[in-house]
Amino acid sequence: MALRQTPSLKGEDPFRRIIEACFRREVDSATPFPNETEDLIETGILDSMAWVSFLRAVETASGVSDLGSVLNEQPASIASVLAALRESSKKPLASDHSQRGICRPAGTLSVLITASCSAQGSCVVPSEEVDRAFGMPIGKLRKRAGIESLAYATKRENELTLGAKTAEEVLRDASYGAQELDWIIATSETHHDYPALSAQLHSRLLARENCGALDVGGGCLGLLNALAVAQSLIASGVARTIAVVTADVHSRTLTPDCVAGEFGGLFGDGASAFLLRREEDARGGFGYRLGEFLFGCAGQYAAAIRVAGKKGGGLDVKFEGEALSRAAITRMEMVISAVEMRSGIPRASVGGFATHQPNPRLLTLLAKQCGVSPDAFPPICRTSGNLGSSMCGAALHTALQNAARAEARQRKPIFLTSLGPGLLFGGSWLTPA
Amino acid sequence: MRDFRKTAAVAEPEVASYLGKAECSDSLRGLFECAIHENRQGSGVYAYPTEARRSICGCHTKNLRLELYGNELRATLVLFSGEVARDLPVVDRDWLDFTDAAENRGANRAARLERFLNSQFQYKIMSCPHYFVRIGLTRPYREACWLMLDTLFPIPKADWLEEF
Repeated sequence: MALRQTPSLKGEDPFRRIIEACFRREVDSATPFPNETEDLIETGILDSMAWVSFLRAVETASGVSDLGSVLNEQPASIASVLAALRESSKKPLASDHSQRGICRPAGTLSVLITASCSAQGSCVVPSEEVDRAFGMPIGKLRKRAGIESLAYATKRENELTLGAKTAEEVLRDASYGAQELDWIIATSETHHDYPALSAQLHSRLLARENCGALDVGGGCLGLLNALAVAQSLIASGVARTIAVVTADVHSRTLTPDCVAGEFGGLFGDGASAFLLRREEDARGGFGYRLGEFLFGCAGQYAAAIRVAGKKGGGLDVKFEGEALSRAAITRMEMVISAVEMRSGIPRASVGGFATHQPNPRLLTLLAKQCGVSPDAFPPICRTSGNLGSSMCGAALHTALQNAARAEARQRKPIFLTSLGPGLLFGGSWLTPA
Repeated sequence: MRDFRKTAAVAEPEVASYLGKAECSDSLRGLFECAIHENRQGSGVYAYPTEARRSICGCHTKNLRLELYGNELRATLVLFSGEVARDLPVVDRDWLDFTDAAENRGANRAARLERFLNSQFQYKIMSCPHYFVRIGLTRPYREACWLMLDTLFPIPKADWLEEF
């Protein structure tokens, strides 16, 4: 689904803004913005490589996925691209192609996050102990990855207990009863049992029998997948209140006898939960409005991380740390750029970046690459390790908490970005309600 | 000028087979024995001129798609490693001639060509026993050599034009 043409408060045309920004990426700063009807290829302003690259960038930023096809037999001009975007925005949503990404589904219904919570495993272990357990040089995790400690689940904790704890907390915070939930959407990269996590949470929370329970995948991207599904369910009118829950307990599977420390040593255990409501139904108070989502899959990096079960038990892990690190930073910066362009919110005015956090060193690098302060990234992974699908959730919860402490008029937007093996990627933004 | 004369022709399957005996790779890195980078701004993938060890390499792919995109023919392919390369410019003369010829065949040509590339093409190409692809590098442009689809076997047949 594509960006609908809704002029911003300043009255600017979002399509023109996107086109200008994408064009600027393809040419040097001295090149003037061309006359709208000029053929960019015939006049030599862009060559064919840059023309295709420009169109792809416009697609990503606008969410319109079939620009190239629409522009066949059309002049390669700004006017053609603008007309194609406007035409696409007029199409009824029902006919939209499924690959167009998820946006404000009904065009008008806003969905709020009204409460959030996160929890980490109760056993905090210094990273040196983890180095020792995995047979790595003492200090490696701290020096190389910047991890000071890891949060591990105790014997009494698992995905269900951590997830239920956070879900109960958000319900309490928002003064909602579990019987008011229409759906529980769960995601976890470590829970593979049946009944599935959402079903177990359903029973544990004592939700209504006709409250739906759904598990979504995506590894570390799971939270964004779950939020996008929840947003669609609410905006389409089939649900009013949804709990999105993440829970990951890596310490039971990524053990020293199964995987190398350079991989297994990075992960901790945690959970997060969010309560989503239609804006019209929200009971006032604190809330952040979910923006549009953009998703994709950069298959060229698929080989950098692969995890599969071994016959007879154990895990077969392929992990090319350096390649994956480069890909993760590059891709997250690209997603942040796309979110910035689609939302019209400059990254400099964002209050918090709730991103996936592979490790503290890469988080610092990402901030540098994005040209924003590292302080805008809640440093969860430094003390808890990589929490999988709960990583982004923990960061989002902290960003929301920071915002809640500020005066309402001083609250700033939040950007969401995450990745999953594949290499799956996704992004979105939230604005104060 | 010397009087060259064609005395024999090598059949298409044989050409593909000979090319397959030259450099061939199943992974992106193996193509030019260097890292392949994606364009952060838009589309396309590239190698640095100082790093690439050759300028053309054969490869076996799990899948290949051609697309007419903004009037430009582009290829997207997945290698046996599972890695995907998107939006490679197609510079194979036979295929460009074929799409040019298709474009001169009456109304709605782009839509009909698109339909052909999405349906018949998949069947004809992927089921061909001598299906083979060669990826080349462009000359340095914006300080990088961009990957392009240099050769695609089978060569398109004129009678395919009758099918759309």
